[in-house]
Amino acid sequence: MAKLNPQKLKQVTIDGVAAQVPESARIADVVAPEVSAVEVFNDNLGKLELIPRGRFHEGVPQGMNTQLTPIAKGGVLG
Amino acid sequence: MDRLRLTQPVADKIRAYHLAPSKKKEALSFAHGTGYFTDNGDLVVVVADPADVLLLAPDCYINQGYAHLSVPSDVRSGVVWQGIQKGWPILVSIDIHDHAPFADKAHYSDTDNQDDIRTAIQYRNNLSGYLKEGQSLYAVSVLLGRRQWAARRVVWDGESGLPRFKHLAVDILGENFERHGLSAVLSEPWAVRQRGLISPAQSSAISSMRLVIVGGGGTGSVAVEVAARLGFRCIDIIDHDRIETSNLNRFHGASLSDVGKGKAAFLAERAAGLFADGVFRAIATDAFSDAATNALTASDIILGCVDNAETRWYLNRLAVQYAIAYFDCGNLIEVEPDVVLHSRVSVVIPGLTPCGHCSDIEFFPRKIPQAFVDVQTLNAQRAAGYVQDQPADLPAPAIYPLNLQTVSWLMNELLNWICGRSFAHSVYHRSDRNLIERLDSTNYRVGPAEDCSVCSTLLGSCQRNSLPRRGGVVELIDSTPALEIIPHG
Repeated sequence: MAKLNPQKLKQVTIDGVAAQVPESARIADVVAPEVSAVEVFNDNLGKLELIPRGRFHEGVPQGMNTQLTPIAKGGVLG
Repeated sequence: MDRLRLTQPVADKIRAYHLAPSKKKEALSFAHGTGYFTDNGDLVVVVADPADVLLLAPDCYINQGYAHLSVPSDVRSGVVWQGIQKGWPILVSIDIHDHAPFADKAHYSDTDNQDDIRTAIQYRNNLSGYLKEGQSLYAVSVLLGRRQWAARRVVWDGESGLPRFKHLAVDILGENFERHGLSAVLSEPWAVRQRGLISPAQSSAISSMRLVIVGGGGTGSVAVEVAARLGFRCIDIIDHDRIETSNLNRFHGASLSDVGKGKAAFLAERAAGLFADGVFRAIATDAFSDAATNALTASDIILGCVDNAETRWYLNRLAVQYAIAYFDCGNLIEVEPDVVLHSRVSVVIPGLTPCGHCSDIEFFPRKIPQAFVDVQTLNAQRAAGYVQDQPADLPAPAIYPLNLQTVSWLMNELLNWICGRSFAHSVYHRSDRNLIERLDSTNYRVGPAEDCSVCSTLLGSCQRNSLPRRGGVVELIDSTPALEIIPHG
């Protein structure tokens, strides 16, 4: 029986929920279609990096930690 | 009580964006605030510079409607990241939205509750990892109705670990003082005669404010009683001196049997005897001690009732740095060649009026006082002849009626500011010229100078800059504790 090789998985955290994705996963594979950009911490650059949708064909960064739930505010009518 | 303090320019920018008359949709904006904790654990957040308010362009929204809005989460992350780069020790990321299209008041909705809790979790779990060393991050959520502001933050219950909301009062240091977030109280029976002058909301604000009176002498002793009778219920009195016989011609409330008592302790005890529902504290040091500085930075209003330029210089600096309103008074009696009585009130509202350094009215010498120059520099200045030690001045003449006049003007201007009437930046009277010069917004529309060394660099910086320290040694007059809390009754 085939088994997933844990060394071939990447750790991601989206909206505080940890998950594992295949090493070959692209960003487009792990975020919803309507997401326009994600922000991740780039260890090489030492800062937060905004990755727009045009770059979602790139691989998921190892340890990607991002928030996707939009800010939502609403009033009370009446 | 936690507080969010905004200068007038900041409040104007937020209102212009969120409360525009033609606006039909809810809106979101952000601000970076600098925070500090007071001696009793309250969080005070200050936003002094309009550049720290970040408005969103229409294309930042996923959805923007009459009663709902949504914005991509990376916008908030980017705002926080931008704030982190400033390196402030306590960064407060503030999101501001309104229910203005349809609501006068500011009531948080369930949608707001969920978002604020989610934000707090995000800050704790994600963004805190990006903070610089020694930096901490807090989130505050502000809501505007057309006539009311509200602010709150999420705190974590120590036992259960569950989130709960802690509300902040919102103070606006504008043409008139505004404090949002309190319930209006009906006037107490003792205050019925001032109902027409002070509204229930203003009474509530007055009783909730922390007032520090620096100087408990001839003018300070009057100011303490006036403040208590107006309704201030949290007053700190700072004075390191003791009552002497020679004070009795003008020290309000004291008699021969009180000679030898600490001035601050006497006044605090006297105020507590008048109004048992207040907290009146005596700080028996000068204004530069740690105890005094803690009280000053925790205050909402500073009253200067001192007789020296050194303390005024320091209070002006502290007031602007911590964005605290500063009302100062002073008087002078000339006896040669003729008797002339001078009486003066100066008001500094940080961000709105000039401070003592950039005002056309110089109520203290702008040069850094000797006491704040470090010993090495002072010795070098003395050696070069720049400083000459002056003999101690003889005690200046002082009389009770002049003190009453000066303090009455001081407290009337304070009341004007709190109660929505035009307040003066400066009041001056001299008895030989039948002249009262009162400068207010009708005849003196001058704000902080752009090149003022204090207003332009220190306004609202709080603990990001250290306060000046005295080069010499501050000695207490005796071994009694510096801080006394006078019990009720």
